[in-house]
Amino acid sequence: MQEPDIEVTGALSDQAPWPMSAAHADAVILDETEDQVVAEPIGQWTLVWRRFIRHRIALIGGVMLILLILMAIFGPLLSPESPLSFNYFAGNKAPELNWRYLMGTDAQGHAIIMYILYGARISLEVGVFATVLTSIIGVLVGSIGGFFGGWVDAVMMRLTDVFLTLPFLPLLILLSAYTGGGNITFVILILGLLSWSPTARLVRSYFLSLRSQEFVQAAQALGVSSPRIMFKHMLPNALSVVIVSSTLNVAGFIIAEAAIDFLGVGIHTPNVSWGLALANSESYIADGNWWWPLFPGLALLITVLSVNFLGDGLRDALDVRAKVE
Amino acid sequence: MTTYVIRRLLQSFIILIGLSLVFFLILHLTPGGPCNAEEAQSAQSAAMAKACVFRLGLNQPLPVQYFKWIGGYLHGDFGMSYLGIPVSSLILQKLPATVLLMLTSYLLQQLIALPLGMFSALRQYSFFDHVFTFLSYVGLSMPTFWLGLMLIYGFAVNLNWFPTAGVQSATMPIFWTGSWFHLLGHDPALVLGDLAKHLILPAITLMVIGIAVDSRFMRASMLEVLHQDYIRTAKAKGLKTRRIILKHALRNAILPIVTNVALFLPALIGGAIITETIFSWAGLGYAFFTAIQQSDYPYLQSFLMLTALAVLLANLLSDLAYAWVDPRIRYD
Repeated sequence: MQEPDIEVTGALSDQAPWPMSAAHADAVILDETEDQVVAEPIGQWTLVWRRFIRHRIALIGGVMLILLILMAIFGPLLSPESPLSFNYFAGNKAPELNWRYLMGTDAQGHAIIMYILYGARISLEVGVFATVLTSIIGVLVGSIGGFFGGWVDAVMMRLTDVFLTLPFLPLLILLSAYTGGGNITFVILILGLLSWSPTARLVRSYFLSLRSQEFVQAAQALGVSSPRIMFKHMLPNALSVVIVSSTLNVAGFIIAEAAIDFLGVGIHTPNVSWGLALANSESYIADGNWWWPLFPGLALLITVLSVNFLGDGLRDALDVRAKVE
Repeated sequence: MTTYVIRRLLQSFIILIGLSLVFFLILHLTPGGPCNAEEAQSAQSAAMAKACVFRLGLNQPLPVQYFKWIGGYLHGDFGMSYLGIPVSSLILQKLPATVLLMLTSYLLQQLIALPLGMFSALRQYSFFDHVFTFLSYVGLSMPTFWLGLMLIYGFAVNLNWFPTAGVQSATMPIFWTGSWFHLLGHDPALVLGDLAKHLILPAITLMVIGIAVDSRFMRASMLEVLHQDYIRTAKAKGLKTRRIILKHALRNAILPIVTNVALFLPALIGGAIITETIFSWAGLGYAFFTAIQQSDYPYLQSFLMLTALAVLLANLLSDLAYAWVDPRIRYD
């Protein structure tokens, strides 16, 4: 079987990590059956789904993420204690085989597992909502610019250029420090406002090429309204690329939020987040309680890893690169 | 080509002006400030806050403050840091540490990433390739600050191999500030060794993500080249594999990496705020973080402008580099 061609489109685009021959062979066969019009035609999303579940590493990422989401939902029920409870007697306890002390305790006697279970919420909330915000702004700016062209496009793209040049991390730290980052809504707003520009560019380039295609011209000739053409006819064609770039955004946002918590300009106690647990452990680093910084960081790493696995699998399943080219 | 460069420079200039407005407004419209004017409890502290506002010129209308700041740049005046020294000398004082850290980690990163990516591509789908791919995912997903923390924990606190923080030990002269004169009487090998010891952990912390990104990039680039017709021709001619790879494939595979070098410029100047902060590395990034806490507007504004300028320049340079190494690309 011939190996699929590789295109270099950026640092992250790469060949499928695991042997893909099975999935590719399957896709080819499915394409053929579609051409031959067998009794039941296979829809685009079915095809995508089949390609996705063949992608082992993506499947692992997806399952991990579902577990993490369940953890975020039911975490408070599973947790041996609430973040507000106090336990003065068992501080700095090493991990042992016991639900409460499974990951040890911090200097104040809080179970580390409590941080893990409660912290999942903040990380996933920020990751998902900031991504939704980013995608909405990016799609709006990009589709308006790409669809209308002319001076509207020029204005939109200069705006995008400015936001593309904004130094992300310095501004994130500065803004969350000055707006009292304790508020999670602010963090989401800041992340969303700082990061929509790449999505906007991507959507615009799609809309530019879609605009001249027959189905759009036909819709225009029929007198369909511009917003309806943009969002009903054109956007579905650009959706897969938005989905893939959004998934990778989630990973970046989760790390960024943990980073500002770690620097002490994000969420404050009594709220609980993984980054905050790491920040608190920093002052006690000389005490030798390795479990305190280890588990929240691992939780973070595993979450981001799962999102990246998922994103990579989606990219292959949705075949984004092939469409970009 | 010249018109293209001129047009790009003009565009960059306009973007820079837009950015200066954004930075200025962000700093001056967010709550808080260097004088704690809002938090003043007693009449005395209120009066002190007022004096502070007056001294720093924060009572002037915003447009006046903005044009004073921008006007200053035109004569090379970056403003006065609230630490009492000009921002320009503060930047010059902090820049060497940042450049040293960033360059060291960048060079090491390339030395590791390029061979890794190349071998992985040459042995596509082998056990090594799979392990490499998995590890590169882990590297990509690594929260740097956690890695730094764990490195400090393991190698500085537990094993005591490296210091936990700072650029140099307190007993050592910092050799790039002040005169070279005060280096006299110190063994240069000792001074450099001390510096290297401080450098290792932050450099490793910075490298990990870079290695993951660059080696994957190198792997993809190498794979693309290996599937080209001229490589097949070289094989058909009966050239040795070693020669095909080193002489024919590697040269073209490395081109996209070379053009990406320019994109390192923003990091070189802006440094790594988080890593510098964790290791108390006295560079521009760490200074930025402390300046946030002191609401040192002149330094913050200048730092942001510098990083933005670096981003714009880097983008232009890498676009030009593309056209330079690949004559098929033309700009007009």
